[in-house]
Amino acid sequence: MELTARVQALVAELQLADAIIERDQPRSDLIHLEVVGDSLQFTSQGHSLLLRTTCPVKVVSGGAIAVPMRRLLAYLQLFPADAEMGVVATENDTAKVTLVRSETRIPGLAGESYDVGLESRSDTGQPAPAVSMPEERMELPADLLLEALSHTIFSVADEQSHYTIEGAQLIVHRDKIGMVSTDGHRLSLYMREVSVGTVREDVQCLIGRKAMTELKRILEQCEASDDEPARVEFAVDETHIYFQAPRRILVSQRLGGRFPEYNRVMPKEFNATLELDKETFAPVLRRVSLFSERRSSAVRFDIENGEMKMQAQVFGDDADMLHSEESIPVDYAGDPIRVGFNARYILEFMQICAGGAFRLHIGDPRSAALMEIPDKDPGTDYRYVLMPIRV
Amino acid sequence: MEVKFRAQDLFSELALAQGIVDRKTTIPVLGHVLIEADEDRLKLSVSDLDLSLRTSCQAEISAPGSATVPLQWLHDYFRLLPPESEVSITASAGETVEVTLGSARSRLRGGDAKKFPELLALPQDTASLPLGALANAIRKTMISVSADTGPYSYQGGCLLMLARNSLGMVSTDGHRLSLYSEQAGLVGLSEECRFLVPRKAVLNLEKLLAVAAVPDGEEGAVDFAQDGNHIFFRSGRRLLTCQKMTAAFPEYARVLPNESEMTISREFAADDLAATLRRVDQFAPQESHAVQFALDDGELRVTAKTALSGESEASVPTEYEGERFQVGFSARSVLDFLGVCESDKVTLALKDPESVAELSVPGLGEGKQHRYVIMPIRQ
Repeated sequence: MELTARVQALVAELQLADAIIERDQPRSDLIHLEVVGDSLQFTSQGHSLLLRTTCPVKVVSGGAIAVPMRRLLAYLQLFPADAEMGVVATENDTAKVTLVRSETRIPGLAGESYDVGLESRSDTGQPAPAVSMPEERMELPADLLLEALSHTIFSVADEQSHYTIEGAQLIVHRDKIGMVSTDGHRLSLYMREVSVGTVREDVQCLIGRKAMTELKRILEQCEASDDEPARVEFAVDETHIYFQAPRRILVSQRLGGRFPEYNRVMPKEFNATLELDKETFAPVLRRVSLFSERRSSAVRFDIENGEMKMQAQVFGDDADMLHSEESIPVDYAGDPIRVGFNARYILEFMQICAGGAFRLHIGDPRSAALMEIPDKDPGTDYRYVLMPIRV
Repeated sequence: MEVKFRAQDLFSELALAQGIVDRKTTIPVLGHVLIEADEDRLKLSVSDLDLSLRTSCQAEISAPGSATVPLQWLHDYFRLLPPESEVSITASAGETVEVTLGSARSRLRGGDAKKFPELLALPQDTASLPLGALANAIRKTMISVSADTGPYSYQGGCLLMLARNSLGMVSTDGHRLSLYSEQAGLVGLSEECRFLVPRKAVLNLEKLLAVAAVPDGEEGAVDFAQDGNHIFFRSGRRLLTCQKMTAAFPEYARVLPNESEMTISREFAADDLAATLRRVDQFAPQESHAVQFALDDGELRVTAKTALSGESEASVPTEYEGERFQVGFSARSVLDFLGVCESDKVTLALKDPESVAELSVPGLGEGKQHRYVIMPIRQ
């Protein structure tokens, strides 16, 4: 294998692989490089994910080699982005990299000894898939899929949340696409009406958190052309989910488990609806929550007489060690309301509240609250459901 | 106690105080800042017993008094406040401290001001050190102060050398030595003196110098004083007090190579050399950062090799003709110097592969001296 390319082109593909390849096993740090036509193809894999991307290069001769990805990335990042580099796979399975008056040899593995393909899922015994899209696939608009991801990814359960499903439900119907995620304390639902012409039957599948993060990075780099928005191809089979963007394929194992019936958790009746603004609300909540218990971030909200008072405290050995309260004006004249929420969950919602305005619907102190962003595009349904906590 | 002030005025002092307080302290009061409302200022003090800082900010005092407050809390809270906001702090006898601004009211448990260690006042007899020269000396010598000193505690500090017409600093961690001095008039210095200043004190002094308010067109100065066990630095309203280190600094002059002994001396472009070393260092052993320097026809070749990560070689052009000369250095040590040399060009002077080498800056300017001596690494 021998080729020349710009540093930048390789760095972009290696950076995408960086999030895929697990950090815990040094031997699995390898990325597979192979000359295919007049491109260099990169294959990297983690526990349940596989990424295959390509970038155009000047090919001198074909071949393949597997090299330690992070070492190569850290090295190339020290060069100017537009520098020209040469890569040669030498006889003893070493990648020779030459650029800017330097020559470096990085020992790797022969291309053939790198196993491509996800491990088969032990519970089903399904064979590993080939790294190519199944025949039956659908086209999704990249920008809407990206919106769905960024509106739901933060409420996906993590190791600490003790919730069974560490992923989101992806919904692709003939007339809409969407995502739902929950960690048992809050739920994000994003739905968008759009005509996905190529859907033969409605698809609902679970997609893991790591796959969501990687897909988000790939989509962020999808550039729309002048007359047409960027599109990604999507396919799903019994065991895997596939996304194909230009030059890049991401394959993820399907998560097992059943996503809860989220429509049943959707609160319908409220005692109060407040129109709020991130600019005035968020700094106050951030300050008050500094005085809340670390684990619960519990903040108490008292709403009455045109005022919302936020309060938090941490109890020490004897009562009232830290205490903070602050209020903001709100347009509300109904009965007094007292309810508690995890401040961190609200602040995370604030981050996707780009326009600043948001709406908070509150029911009784034991039922879930609902947050919405009013100035969304027509055809968009975004709802954030938040369980209250006792204060 | 009841005081009113601008959030930002207090916050800038709290940020400086953060550097003094040891987060893992087992003595609760040392995690606190002492606040004292007196006349028209709010005075702040923090200490880790070896090193302490006293400062103040402008405030409107309604009722004088004092209290101690957990510094970390106060700092984190003030970071979230709008900088221009008017804030009040009130403290009652019950050790509760209340912070209010607008509709916001926060209470936290303070401590008894009487339990805070008593801090020394600046002695009468002070000398005036030029701020710029002191800041330069710190920046250029801090790189070779060791964070983990092992048996040689002098390696954990900088030797400050004051004379009537010069200010200098020198430090070493056993692998390299940095020396910087500048000619400057030190007003009020009664006799030549040398002190070993601990690393933490130097780091905090550097922060004070960085935020010192120097009027336009003036040089800026720091008051310096000492008593039996302590050294004092005062910059404007801020006073830093530290314990002197008792360890003896070695006779560093004996380590400095003599210019006439050096067989080779070559100039390099500093950023070119730095970029090259940073790249090759990726393939050097992680602990030693050992790389080989080889001078050959018209270039310096830098190489590094480890069994696991591979090998790398790069070259930097330089005027050199003659026999091939090879020597090993820590890439990190050379990079540290290049990071503080503030020059486009640097000179590398070599004697033989077993002897120390010296990096310096050509044309440094009248009265200034910056020398950096590194030990070779034998392969």
